[in-house]
Amino acid sequence: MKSIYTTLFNVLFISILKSQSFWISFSQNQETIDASHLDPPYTAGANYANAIPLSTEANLVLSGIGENTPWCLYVQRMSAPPGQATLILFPDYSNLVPQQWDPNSPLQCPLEPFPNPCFSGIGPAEFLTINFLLENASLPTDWQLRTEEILWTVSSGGCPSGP
Amino acid sequence: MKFLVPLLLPLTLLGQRFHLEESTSFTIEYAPISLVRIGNNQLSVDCNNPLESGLGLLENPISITPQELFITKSKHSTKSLLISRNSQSLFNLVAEAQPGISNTGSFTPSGPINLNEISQILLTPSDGLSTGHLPGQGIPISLILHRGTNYGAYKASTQWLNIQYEFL
Repeated sequence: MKSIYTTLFNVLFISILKSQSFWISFSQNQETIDASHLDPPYTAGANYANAIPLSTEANLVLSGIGENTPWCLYVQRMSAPPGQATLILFPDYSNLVPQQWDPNSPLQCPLEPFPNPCFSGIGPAEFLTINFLLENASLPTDWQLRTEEILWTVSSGGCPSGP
Repeated sequence: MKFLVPLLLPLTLLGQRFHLEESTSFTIEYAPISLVRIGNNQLSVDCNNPLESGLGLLENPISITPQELFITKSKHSTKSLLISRNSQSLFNLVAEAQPGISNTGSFTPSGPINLNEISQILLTPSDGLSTGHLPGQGIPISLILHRGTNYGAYKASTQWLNIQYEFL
């Protein structure tokens, strides 16, 4: 009988531990770059601005972890889009209280073909917003439709210290 | 003791490391861009006095100060830049895009064009052309005034000529 209770207890406890959940939603699935993104905007002769803030934003929710559990969000590019422009991700710290993130958390992270630490969080995240910046777009190289496939990974423990 | 081991097992899981993954995708679309702008709307002509009496004022072609053209053309299509003029002009004009180095991309001039109401190819951009938008960065368009049919047009005054540039 004892072993039955113990097993039930363990199953219940482990099921609670497994209730950690993590999901990402996007404000929109498509971004259009047009003459308004020239520098100066709508000006004949101009090239794209060096840095173009995208209106698309990602919203991250992480739940089911302890209040003081440190974690790190990594981002990785899973596609090889055409063009020379690079995508930079910016966590929005303005909506967070200081207790929700490590002061050494990265301010920005380029999207690269390997996991890059992007946000060092503490405890559950109800609504972490990630903004995007398109850098170094140029008329001769950037004109084809590009699909950005991103692998988001949350691992326990904070992000590794930067250089 | 036997009972304690399985009971304490969940406590060891409190320090469990977790690893969660999520994949997303979104697209970035570059809309086609075709922009053209004239840098200087007013051009001038210096017309020397005839060397001998009896010679016409416009025996030889006269150069007009170049017009500067600024272009941004994305790489989506290879449409050419066409030029035409309105039918009301009192004089003949020949236009030619001068080769030069652009900020990005390149273009191929088509050579001298005798302007009329029919659109003709002035240049063909390629590779995503942006000339630069500051004065002096545009493509110089040389304009040559040929002998006209109405000498009344060649007095010291401002003449209006509607030149149209368009991508087609």
